[in-house]
Amino acid sequence: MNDSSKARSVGARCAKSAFLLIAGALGLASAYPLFAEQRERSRVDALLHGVATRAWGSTARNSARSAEDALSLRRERLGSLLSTWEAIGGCGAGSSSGAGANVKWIGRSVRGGLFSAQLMASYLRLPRQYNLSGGYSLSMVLQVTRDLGEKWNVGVAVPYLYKYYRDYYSLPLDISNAGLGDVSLLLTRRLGAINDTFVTATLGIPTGKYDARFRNDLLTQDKQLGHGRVSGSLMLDHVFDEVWGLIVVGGLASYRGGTNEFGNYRAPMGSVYGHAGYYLGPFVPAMGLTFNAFAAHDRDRTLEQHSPLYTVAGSATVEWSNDYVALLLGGSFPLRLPEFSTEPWIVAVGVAISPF
Amino acid sequence: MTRVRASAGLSTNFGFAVLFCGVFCLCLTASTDGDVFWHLAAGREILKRGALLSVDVFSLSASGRPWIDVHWLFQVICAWGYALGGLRALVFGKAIIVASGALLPGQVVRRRAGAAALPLFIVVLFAALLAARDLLLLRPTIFTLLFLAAFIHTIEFARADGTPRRLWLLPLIQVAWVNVQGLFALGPSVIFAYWLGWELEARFGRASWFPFASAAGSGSDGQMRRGLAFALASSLFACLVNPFGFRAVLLPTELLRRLTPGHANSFSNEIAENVPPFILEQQTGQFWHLKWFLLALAVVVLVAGRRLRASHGILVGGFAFLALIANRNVLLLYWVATPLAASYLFMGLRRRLPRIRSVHVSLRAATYASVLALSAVALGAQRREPSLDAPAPFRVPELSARFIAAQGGTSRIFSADHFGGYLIWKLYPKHSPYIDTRLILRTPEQFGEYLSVVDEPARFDAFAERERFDYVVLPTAYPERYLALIRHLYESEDWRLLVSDGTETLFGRRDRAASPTMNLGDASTTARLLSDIDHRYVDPRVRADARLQLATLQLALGHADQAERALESSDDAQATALRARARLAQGDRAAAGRIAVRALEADPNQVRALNLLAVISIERGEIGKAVGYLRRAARANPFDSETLTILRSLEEKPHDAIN
Repeated sequence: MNDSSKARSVGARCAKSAFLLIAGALGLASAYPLFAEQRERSRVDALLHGVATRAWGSTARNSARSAEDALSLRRERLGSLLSTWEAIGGCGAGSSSGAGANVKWIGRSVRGGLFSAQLMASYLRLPRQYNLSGGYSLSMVLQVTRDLGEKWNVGVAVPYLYKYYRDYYSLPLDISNAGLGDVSLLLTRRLGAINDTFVTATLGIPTGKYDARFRNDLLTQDKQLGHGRVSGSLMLDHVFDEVWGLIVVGGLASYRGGTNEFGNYRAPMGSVYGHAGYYLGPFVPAMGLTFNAFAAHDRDRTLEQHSPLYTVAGSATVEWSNDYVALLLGGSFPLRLPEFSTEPWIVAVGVAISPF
Repeated sequence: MTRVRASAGLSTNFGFAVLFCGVFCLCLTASTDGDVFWHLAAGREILKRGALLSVDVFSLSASGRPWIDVHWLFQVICAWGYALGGLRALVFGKAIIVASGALLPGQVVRRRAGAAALPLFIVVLFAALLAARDLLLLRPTIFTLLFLAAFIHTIEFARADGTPRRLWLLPLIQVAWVNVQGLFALGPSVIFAYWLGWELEARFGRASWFPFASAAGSGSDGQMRRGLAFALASSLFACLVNPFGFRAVLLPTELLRRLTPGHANSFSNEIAENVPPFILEQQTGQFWHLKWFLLALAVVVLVAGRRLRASHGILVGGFAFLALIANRNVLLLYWVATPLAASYLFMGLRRRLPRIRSVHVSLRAATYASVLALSAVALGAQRREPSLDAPAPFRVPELSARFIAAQGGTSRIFSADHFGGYLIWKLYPKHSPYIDTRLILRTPEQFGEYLSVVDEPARFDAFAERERFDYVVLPTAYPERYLALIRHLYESEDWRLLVSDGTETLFGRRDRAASPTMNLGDASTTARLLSDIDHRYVDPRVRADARLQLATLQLALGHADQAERALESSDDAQATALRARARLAQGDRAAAGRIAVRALEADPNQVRALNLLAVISIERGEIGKAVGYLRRAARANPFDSETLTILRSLEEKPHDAIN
């Protein structure tokens, strides 16, 4: 692990990335008309090609009357107040970004564009009695997905993590670790006549640093950014779309990487969950419950950690969306079973767009 | 040293004077908006009754419905102002308020970045307001601009002073705001943005990852945060200080809901000022400047770097969001973001280019020259503006209102919604319009029904029978949406065209209207109308537009020959395009094609001419040629709805093809 000055420079890089992100978002917004124009040109070109390649024969003149009716008396200076609005949006659970965040995106989200992008930022607070030192963890996961036809969807989730721990080993020293986590590839298959069931397979690629050291001391596995081993999961969601809102039930089975070269072990886990969201205009407040079970305790360099075997987490989210963008604010509050003691809570904010 | 200080003071005052005069002049435009008239009517009624209006008394579709008239104070002020000096007095009042408001962000810029930053701010604000000046309407929004500026000025100066003493002003301003406009929720939102930013700076400012500037860390910071929290609470409480109590506080959420774009939201899709600006740019080319402004903000973020305050980021981000969902909010974004952006940009440039200090005089001269150049542009635009004493031409149904008033009695009127305000102002209480632009009083179903009878005239007869209309008042243009309904009424047995000047039409029920039907196909009628136009409009551009509208109306009603007569003395691109259409309507394809080809020689990308040639080619069975013209039209403007409609008419499978 880096010493504090290196940690500061990592943090400074993080800060620089953040305001590059802000400037980039403004730049992207300003570029929207250009992209919209390119997209419309492609669409019209496709229409023109379709018309040009038809065999018209004697039917051509039959189109003349409706074409002449199409001639408008509207003058160029004025636009029609009948705005064309690209149909993006639709109800659905939406796939949550990253396996780590227990805040699931429940709401309308946005769809229908060239691709969907979802950015979820989570804050996890570590209380002082946990891991001896306490601290917090920030993660920003960018998930980009794209539909391949009606039934398939592919995507990639890229996490950026920042972990901060106070009083490292009871020393008057705070440490931090920041950088890229394990990138995930996602493949979703929609099932059912109305595509209300989703099966998502995720493959975790060990891109996150798993051997970070602080003054030659290998950090514990929870402080690392990755695990160094390929991981995978299978998730099944079913959405009940009601007039008043939606209900999502599902489950997850996850292989978290097993044992790596340092003897760090992450146990397989399974989850079942249910969430319900209520439509309130552009808002969708939702609540849910998740039950997690782990096959064994995690181990850090062969030593068993005090990780939970069973947890139950209540979550609450509220989404605001329109045809352009969806915003989410939520929290997850887990309890360790059977003791019912509190586990670190998570607060998350997310933004989703589906442009072009 | 004393001389430097004196010249700096003089130069700063000169800057403020330039700012005030420039913004003042920009605001001197004739009223183009129909809303001011129902405000005037309401103000007149309040003063007459000595009591506020708690239910709608003006329109038929919302008669007796509770009306949360948060604009009551604006309406009373307008009624007084109008009594003093008519519309001219109101326009001057608007200019004074907006120009005075512009001084406040100027002071913020001076406080944050020094007097040397003023010229940059003046240039950018002036340019932004010039680009968006069609949004500087005679509406309660002008007070929102003033109050927004006052809020930001108060908070910024409190922060600079390090004491929250000034913040007690905010709830007082909020009390005025809640009685003037429905956007009063912006007041607490601005305080919240500052408070949140401050809290984030205090909590995370020392973290190396925090991208914004950190708090000063002094004791006064905690005091300021507490002061802001108190100001927020008291401003929220101040929102209750209005005649409607809590019901008024809920109004902004309903307004935001109606602004939120969406397929099913007709209030967002069908109301021009609520359409998202990037969509409107596709349709009409308006708001081309917004993308450049956003790009400029991106550059400012990069230049400011970690000196950017979180509160400013949250504030500008919030207003950018509002601007992107409805074009009416673009002005607010420019108003709020420009002073902050100018100060960051100046400070960033000063850091990176230290030599700028030594050439600041040259820079100031250059920026003042820019201001003068922009003023010249504004003055040039101003000279084309009509008189301030009357509404802008073609925006209000003056002729129809005069006619109906002269008939006496009482009546029920169906009109374009933006005509409703003027009809109320001129004809209340004896005559009532069905609808006006107080759409907060209409349900989505009512508004949907109104739009459907306009767009599908076949529905109008049953609707008119149910509502027992006596008159129908519709515009030819601004917008041209009503032409189909005008044609339906013109051809109907139940309605008579009583009066028209080509730009507006008044129909009366046949059993009620004693006057004979006006025949727009008659050559003598056309001659009389053209003569009236020449006498009425002095400005040649306005006159040409009036002739164009008359020709459009006549063509829509099937009088193509008279339409060509109306266009005889016009040779601009729009007149040429309409003339070609008139020729086609009379079956003379060859002449229509020749006119269109001549138009293309002048402008090869003229979409109207290209579309017309495409239709002619389709009629001749030359689909390949038609596709070629449509391809050129789409290349010139891929969003043109006429091009797309022609293309779709080709896409649909003709019945004969199914053998």
